[in-house]
Amino acid sequence: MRVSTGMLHQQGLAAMQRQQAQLAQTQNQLATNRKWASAADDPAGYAAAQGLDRQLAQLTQHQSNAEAARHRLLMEENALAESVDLMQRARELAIQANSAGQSAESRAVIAKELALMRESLLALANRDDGQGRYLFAGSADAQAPFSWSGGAALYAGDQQVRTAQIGSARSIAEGDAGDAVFLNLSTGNGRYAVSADASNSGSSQLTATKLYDAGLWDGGSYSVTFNAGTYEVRDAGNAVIQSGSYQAGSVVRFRGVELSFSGVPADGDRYSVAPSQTQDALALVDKLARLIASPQDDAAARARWQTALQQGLSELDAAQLHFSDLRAGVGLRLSAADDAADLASAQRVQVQDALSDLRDLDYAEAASRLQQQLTALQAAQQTYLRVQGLSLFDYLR
Amino acid sequence: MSDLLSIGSSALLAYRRALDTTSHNIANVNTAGYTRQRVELTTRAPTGSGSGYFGTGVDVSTVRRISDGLTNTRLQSDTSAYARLEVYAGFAGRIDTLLSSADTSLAAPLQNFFDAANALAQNPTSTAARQALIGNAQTLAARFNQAQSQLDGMSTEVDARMRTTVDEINQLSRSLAQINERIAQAQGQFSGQPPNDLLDQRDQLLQDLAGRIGITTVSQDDGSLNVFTASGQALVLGSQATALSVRGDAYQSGRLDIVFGANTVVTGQLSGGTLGGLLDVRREVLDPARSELGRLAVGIAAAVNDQHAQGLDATGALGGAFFAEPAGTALAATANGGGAQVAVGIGDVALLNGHDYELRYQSGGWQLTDRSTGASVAMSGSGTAADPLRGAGIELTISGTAAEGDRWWLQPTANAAGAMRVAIQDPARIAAAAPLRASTGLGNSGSATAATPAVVDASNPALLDPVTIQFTSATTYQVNGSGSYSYSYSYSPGTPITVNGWQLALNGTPAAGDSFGVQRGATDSGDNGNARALAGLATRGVLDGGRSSLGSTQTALASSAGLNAQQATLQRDAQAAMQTQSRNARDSVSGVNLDEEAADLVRFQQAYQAAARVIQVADTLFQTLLQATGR
Repeated sequence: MRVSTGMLHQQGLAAMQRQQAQLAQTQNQLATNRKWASAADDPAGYAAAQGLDRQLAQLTQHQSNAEAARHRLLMEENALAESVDLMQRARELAIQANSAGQSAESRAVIAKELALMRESLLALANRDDGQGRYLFAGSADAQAPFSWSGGAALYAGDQQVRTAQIGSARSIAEGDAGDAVFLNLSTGNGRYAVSADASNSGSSQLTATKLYDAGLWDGGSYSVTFNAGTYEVRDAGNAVIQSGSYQAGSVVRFRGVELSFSGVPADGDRYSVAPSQTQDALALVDKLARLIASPQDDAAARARWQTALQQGLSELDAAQLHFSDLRAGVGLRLSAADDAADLASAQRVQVQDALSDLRDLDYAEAASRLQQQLTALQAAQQTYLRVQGLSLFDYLR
Repeated sequence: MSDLLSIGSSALLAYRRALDTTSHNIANVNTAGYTRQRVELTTRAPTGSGSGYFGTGVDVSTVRRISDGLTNTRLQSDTSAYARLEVYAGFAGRIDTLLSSADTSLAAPLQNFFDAANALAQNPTSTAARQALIGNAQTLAARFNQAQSQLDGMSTEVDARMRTTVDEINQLSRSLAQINERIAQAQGQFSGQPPNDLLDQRDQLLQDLAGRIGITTVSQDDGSLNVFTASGQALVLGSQATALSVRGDAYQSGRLDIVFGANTVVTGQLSGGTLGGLLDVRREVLDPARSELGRLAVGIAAAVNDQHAQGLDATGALGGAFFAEPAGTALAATANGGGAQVAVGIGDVALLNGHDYELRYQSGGWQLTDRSTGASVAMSGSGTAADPLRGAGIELTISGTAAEGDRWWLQPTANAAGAMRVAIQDPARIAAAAPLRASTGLGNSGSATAATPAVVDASNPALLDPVTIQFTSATTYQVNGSGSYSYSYSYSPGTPITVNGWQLALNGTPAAGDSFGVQRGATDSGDNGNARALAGLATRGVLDGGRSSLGSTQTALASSAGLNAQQATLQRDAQAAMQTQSRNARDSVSGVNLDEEAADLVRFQQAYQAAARVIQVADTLFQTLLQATGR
């Protein structure tokens, strides 16, 4: 092929420009640590990387949500643990008050401590989350949810519990509503409550209650009356549904209920059995405080007092169990949050690896490519000089 | 003797011409479009005699221009194609960079917005988190505005370049017409001898013209050349040039139409060259990018607004517009006879496809046509504000009276990215909470607990009214919508209870006598239900009939711009190689090679010297003869 002088010049120039363009690209890659500068360099890779970026952002959100939920759950767990401790302390105080050596004065001191305990419990229930919002108020957490009416706790919050998204299809409650925590206790043993009639004059007292057959219990109100070594059980309509002889230490059973007594009942002594009612933790402690402060002038009064205390203690036990259960529930959610955070963190590492493979530069490859391109550019320059230096005119003298 | 002298002098003269031409070649080695020339030598007519025909010397028959018409034509069409692709690849690359580079891409602000919504879900009452959400939304809107203004700027640039290119084309056409005239004259003047350097100039002008617009040429007998656009408009006929011009289009949309001669709009017919490239950029790159960008902006605004309206703000009111309500634009044709006004609203974002539409009033009815596909689109509704014309995801409200044949160009999304704006200013107005809360009666004996009610119709006027649901058995319940237990509904486990635009799902089994309450959320609520839903929009299918999330639409926008740029660049590089090949082919035939010219210089110099020697010999012969006869 015939070659013109202009062509030769253009060709050499184009070769150098091509090499320089490639060199500039490699230089840019090395400077940014990215294989590409814009989507045009690898549209499919760019789309895949963006998808991974979004996945990474989701995982980061889940991890951060799990950590935030963990923080709130830990605050709740602390409050519940303190509640369990308070119930334990109340139990100790009640047992202490029950010992025969206590005087009216020393019981008054114990009652005062229990009353203070009610205040602590109120403070616990109105605990804030460190940001001016209340932990146990549901979504109405701008105001303190609990107040003491004198006989019961009043709840101004709601049942709406905040949830945290800790996985793409997984969310956990970040707490429990205050009513479920502090209001949802029941009187007696949870199914029925027993009370001694205020006119009882015997020394008999309730020592234990249980439900020997839950299927028989119908949730009605009954009364047990002792009379000359026998007992009668009457229903709400005052009809006798059961009767029998009674010896000290034997149990009375009806409709699935089993009551154990100690001491000797006087004729006409009466115990009422009624279905359990809901009661709040503050009212429970307050009830105990008032009971312990109440006078025990004679043996009959003391027996009635001890029946009430037995019921109070079993309510305390149930309350302690209730708080422990809630705490266990929080613990489960905490571990779920931890799991989710760990999972998200592990997945993040995977996604980041994939992203790096997709987008980050292979330095070794790029460095050797740079060397190669430098050599090629040098060759192009030298070739241009040599070719251009050659002219027949040089030989025309 | 006189023969010898005349032969010698004819050679001297011829080689003098040859040396002239060689030095002309050397002088023009770097002249653009120059075609090397060669002196064609022929023998003079011999003189006959009885002893045969005797040669009488050499003559210059012509100065030949060594060119190949076919390689020239190929170079012309390759130049046209390359110029088009260079413009195209340039703009495609700029849009790609705009949409995908880390500094200007929409990916980061979009993700930041959803991250801020998620942070709000973690801390729904925090004013800082609320402000952060507004701040991130403003950044997102600003990035959209910026992208739109960049695209609008490119559009303006395309128009400006179209104007200058049309001016250049007209200039070149005029020059071609003039040079045609001179060539015809020159050719006639010296009995058909070609005016080589004028032909070179004309070829160069044609190359320049081909770089601006695709052309075809037809040679005429008188040496002139007629030039047509690829679609057949005659730019140059002999010594006559017809000018192109630009003017605003029929909708006064701000874009330009190309007009041939007095009144023929040829915008859609031109192709090739810079002008063709600019038209293609506008049609294939800029317009789709603007529409798609706008569709994403509309999708974000509509989806966020819809979700935001389903929440309760800190003052206890339902959420208002988070972003300004998106709206499309309708451009009335200047020829419209009626006074009707068309307002374009966004109906269902899932149905938007980023296309433009033409609305036409014909035979008392409205017709909607997709401008991209030409397909007719069915519409429902009457066009009033209460019952707008609905079709293709847009809602059209017509005011005033239209005349027969009136047309509008509807751009549902083309300008939406520029109009994106955060409507919410007060952090307290962010609706982070679920609007309703449920309560499970404390005395309930069943195991059922109520989940947060889900809003299914935020526009129900009774949405926030307090409602008590009382179970009369495990499978029937009553609702006190108006204050009394007046209805009895049957409940099937697992099916949510729907009242007043919300749905209540129960977990567990209700028992007779159980009650559940639903009431509006608390003022200054600590709930995060709606904030979570806002954060969840990041992955929810919003566009393309609910198949594409906002994030994936953004990625599709950027990667399709990337693909466009990549292909344009590949095509441009391929075309550059083809153009180089064509130029090499032309240069191979017509280009000057200095070594060749040096050799010719030597060759012709030697021939000239030899001819001079012939003259000398003739002189010597004459002297010899004089001396022999002088005595």
